[in-house]
Amino acid sequence: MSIQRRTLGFVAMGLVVWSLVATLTAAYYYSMYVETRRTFDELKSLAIDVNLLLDYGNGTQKWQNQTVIAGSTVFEILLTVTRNVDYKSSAYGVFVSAIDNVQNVVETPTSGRAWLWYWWSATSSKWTDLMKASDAYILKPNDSVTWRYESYSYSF
Amino acid sequence: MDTQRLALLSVLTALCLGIQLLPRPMNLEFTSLIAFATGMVFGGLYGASLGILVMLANGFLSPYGFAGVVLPFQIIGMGSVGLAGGLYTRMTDKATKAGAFVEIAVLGAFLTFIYDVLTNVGTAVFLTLSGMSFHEAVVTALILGAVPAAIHVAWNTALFGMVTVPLVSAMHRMLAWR
Repeated sequence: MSIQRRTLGFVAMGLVVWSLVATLTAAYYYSMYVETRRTFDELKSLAIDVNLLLDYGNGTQKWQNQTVIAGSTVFEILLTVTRNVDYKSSAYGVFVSAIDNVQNVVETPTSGRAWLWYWWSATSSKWTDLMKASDAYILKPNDSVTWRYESYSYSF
Repeated sequence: MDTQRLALLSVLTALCLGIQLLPRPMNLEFTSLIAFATGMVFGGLYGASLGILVMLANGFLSPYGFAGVVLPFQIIGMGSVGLAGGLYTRMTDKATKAGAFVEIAVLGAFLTFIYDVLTNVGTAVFLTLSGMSFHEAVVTALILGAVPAAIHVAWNTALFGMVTVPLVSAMHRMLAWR
């Protein structure tokens, strides 16, 4: 009988330690979860959703829904979609010369094919040229932009 | 205390302090084991003294730095481990029998948990001195110390369970050499 009580005493002691350690460990991981969730919510408020259409001019179009950090530019969202971008920076802003190995082509001094970007105007329901370099326009939540490979021509 | 016992106790203390001060993963320690075994062989008072002295030296010389306000809690905790070794020997005549392996493993887990709770309370005192309310500091210290405590308890459960009985038997055999 005394051996049984002794055994039960040690079993109880082991169970008490196990339950308290498990409870504290669970509390630790719960607190980590709460902390991570709070950090995630804070970061989420710093992010915006935008849409990007890559139009290769040959019938191939790719839509991308991206979450980017608030303050990102049209050029930066392009780099989040593909790293295969050739560009030059200048005082006027970034000039994109190729995307996914599709190169700009100068056919005559005043015409050719090039990558140009447009912003979707919800009020006029059409793609609009904002006349800005792609690194000069800061995206707003739910903006839609397109990079389009198309023919251009101009006259003096 | 005869010379032979004094020599063994001195060697154990030196060994314990040497291991304690070595760079090692935090909470993987041998001090509790040696303090407990010393308590079993030499009596609770000696086990407690060994634990107290080793933690006192560790508080100042530890590779993790000065223990600060946690030091008294470490001393009380490790002293209790040594004292428990002596009490366990008094409570039972089965200290070196097969069942003792399991009992000592459970005791190891229990004493380690008590030690960790005590040192976490010490951390809570430090947090309180830093401006936190004591209640909040205790909860914070216990929760943040949960994973290290779990590792410490698991380590000492295994260590006490596997090593104490052979170690105590070896110490008794050494003391029997005349």
